[in-house]
Amino acid sequence: MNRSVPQIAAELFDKLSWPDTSEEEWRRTDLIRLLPKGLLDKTAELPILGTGDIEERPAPLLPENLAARVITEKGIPVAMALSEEAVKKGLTVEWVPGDSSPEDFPIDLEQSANAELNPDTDRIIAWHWRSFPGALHISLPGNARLKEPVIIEETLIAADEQSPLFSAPHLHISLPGSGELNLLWSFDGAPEVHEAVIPVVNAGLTASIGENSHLNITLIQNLGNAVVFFLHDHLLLERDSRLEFTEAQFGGRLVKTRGRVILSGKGSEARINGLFLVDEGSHKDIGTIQNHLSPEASSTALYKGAVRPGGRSVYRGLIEVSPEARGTDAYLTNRNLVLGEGARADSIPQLNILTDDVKCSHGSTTGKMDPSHLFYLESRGYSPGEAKKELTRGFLMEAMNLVPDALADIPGDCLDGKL
Amino acid sequence: MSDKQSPVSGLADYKYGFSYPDQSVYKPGKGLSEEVVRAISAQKREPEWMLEIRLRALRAFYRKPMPTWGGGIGDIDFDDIYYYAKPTESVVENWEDLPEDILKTYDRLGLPEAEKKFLAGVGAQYDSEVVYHSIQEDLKDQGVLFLSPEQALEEHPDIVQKYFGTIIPFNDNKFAALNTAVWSGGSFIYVPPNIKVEIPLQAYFRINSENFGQFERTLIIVDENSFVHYIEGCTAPVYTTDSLHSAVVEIVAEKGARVRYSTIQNWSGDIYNLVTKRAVAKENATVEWVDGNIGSKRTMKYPAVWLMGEGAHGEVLSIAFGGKNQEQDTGGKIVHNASNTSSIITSKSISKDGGTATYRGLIKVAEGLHNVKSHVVCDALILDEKSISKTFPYMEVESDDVSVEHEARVSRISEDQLFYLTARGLSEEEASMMIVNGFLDPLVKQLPMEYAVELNRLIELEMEGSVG
Repeated sequence: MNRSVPQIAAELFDKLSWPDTSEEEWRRTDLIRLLPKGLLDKTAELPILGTGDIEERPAPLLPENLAARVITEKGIPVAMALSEEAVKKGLTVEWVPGDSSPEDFPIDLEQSANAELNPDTDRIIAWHWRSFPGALHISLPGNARLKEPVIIEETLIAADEQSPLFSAPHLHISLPGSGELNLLWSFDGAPEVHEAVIPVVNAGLTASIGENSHLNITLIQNLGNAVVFFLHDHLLLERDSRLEFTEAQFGGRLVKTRGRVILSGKGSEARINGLFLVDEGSHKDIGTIQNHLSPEASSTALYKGAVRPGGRSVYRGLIEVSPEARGTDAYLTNRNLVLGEGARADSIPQLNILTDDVKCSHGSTTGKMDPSHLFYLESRGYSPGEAKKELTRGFLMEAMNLVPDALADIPGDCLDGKL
Repeated sequence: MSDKQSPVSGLADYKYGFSYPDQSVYKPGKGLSEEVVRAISAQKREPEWMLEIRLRALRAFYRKPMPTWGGGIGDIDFDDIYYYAKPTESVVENWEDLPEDILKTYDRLGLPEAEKKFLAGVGAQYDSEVVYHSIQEDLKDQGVLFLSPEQALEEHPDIVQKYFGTIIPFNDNKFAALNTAVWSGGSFIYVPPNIKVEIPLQAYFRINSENFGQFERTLIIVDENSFVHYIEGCTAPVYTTDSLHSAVVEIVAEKGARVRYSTIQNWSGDIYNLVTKRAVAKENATVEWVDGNIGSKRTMKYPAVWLMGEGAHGEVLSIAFGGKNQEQDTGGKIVHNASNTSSIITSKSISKDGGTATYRGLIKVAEGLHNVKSHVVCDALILDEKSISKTFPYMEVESDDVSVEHEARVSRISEDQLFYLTARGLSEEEASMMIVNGFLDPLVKQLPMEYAVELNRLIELEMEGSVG
């Protein structure tokens, strides 16, 4: 390859126009209506971010039960600490600048980029790869097993109140051997900016999960309510590997995600869970794809959403089974809780099955809180507000059951903050 | 009915196809133009307002884009289609003049003579003019109108003008626009208040006097507290020279009324079947669509119910069989526009020999409603590894006091099931058939007996030669 990833992406970016509602994927998320005119054009004109020089800052405090902690700002690592054990087991955290020469670009990251940068991609994804400052490349070689999680904390910080704010963080996880890694990627920050400034985050998560390896990712997005958040995942599973993926989408005025899990190895297994809480005036469009390319693989998805009055949620889930993927076992569940008059929840679970030897099904429910549950709690002394809060919490937290113990409190705490 | 049907040709290898010479007395050239539309309207001696709607629809048809989703229909050549053919003038009133082919078709379908006589529906019509007439008389006494839309336009222009195009506007979609521009034939039913029409009404009843064509237009109005069951087609002989069938069916169920519309299409394998069907259910009304799709090359059909009054209920039962070179893109739509409404969609699809069966459906709950319940179940059976099953349900909920549920399952005939049945002496083919029958059973039960028999036989014919 003689052209760099950002160059290829820039060409695609120039060729494509901003997605509109004529595309099925964007039918329910009308960027023209949801965003101020010209915001995307103006934001995309901002100079390519960062050069990848890691600022020298004191290493952050590393609690005992963590393997590593990386602090990033606008996607660029600014401080980092690794535990001794992590170092011993060979964990590496590298910064790969977006403008690296093709020879210096890790092959698995390049493969992920190429898979996303096909002519059918949309401009948001092309934009990410064109403007990302670089990727945080986390790798655990061989058959090392690291139980303690790695934490990456991304914070959105505004330089001043007036300047436009954009970031395109990218995280790539590589498990070439049969290792085990637990990881948390958190997005935080409610930058105090002028109300005309709308921060945009266009994040990308890619992973190459090698044979027999086991990866557990937790992604928590708790950005301020002014932020526009785009996220696309491309998680590739090799033979007999296992992925557990959890996402929690709390903040953002507009959130649009597309998570693609590719079961490309025989016998691979993916479990993807998510929760989304939609506040008044917020629009969240969450998408997942369980893409079965190989025989005997299994996948489940459980996505739970709660929508408050004046909020709108869209969940699109697709189970796609190729003709080669015989013996596929796939399930998809979407449950939405409508928290009051004027909330809107769309649910679109889809199946696209191209062979017969499969077990595929999906279920979707949308409804309000069961009055008898509320009554039960109220009769035991909860105020109506508390009862509603507890039931919402209980409803959503079911989707957090894959989060490793060491991180288990985090989504709950974020949720409590929101409720 | 006799050979006064619209032209038929080139369907030799279609199992239930038969043809007789085109003896139309008037037929404009191929292709669509304002002249063609004017000619159709003039032939029918229509009032000016109808011509006006046709012309507006034609413009909408040109303007509307082709749908980019659903089955591949991009290869339809709109210039290579006859849009109208008028049957000969004389009307034959004797059922015995039915072409032998039709009777043969039914024999081939395995409806024995005794059944034909026994069942009040299809069989009786063919055998007895008396029965036919008595039904007609009966309906007339009750004030039920069962006419062709042309007749209705002539005899009851006020009712037609009041309802025509109000449920499916001329510019609803490209194919509804096409139908509105060139419609010809179909059914018009009006049931006055408090009348329960005991026997199902069928298109055959007046097929002898009308051209039941490719662009038929059906309008059913059921007044307060009345009931009617309308049955369309079934293995209706295929009357078409070209490959496009685009019907529009509009149903109004007034307060407390109940309408059931059953259809099993078994078009030949070269037909694009692009149909718009929509019903409005007012207060406490019930509308049920029973929709079977066995034939055609591509079908795109999503019977819809708009629940506009409190207490209304909508139901869609959909069966699709996607065989070789077929794509069945079917499903149902329910729009909840009033509180205390409920709906059920049940879909069963089978794909085989590389065919595709797609469920596509919509449940929409408008804003500010209470006590809305909806339940959707899609079951798909894939019979071999080449075949495809897709499910695209859309649920849009804008109220909080709702319960919207959807579930879908895709599976194949399991080895265990086959083993169990073959161990009990059934051949593998019989066992497969039995499993498929069992799979469809909950839907087949909803059909009148003669149709259930026919559907089972149809599926059996489709299943011939398939193993596991």
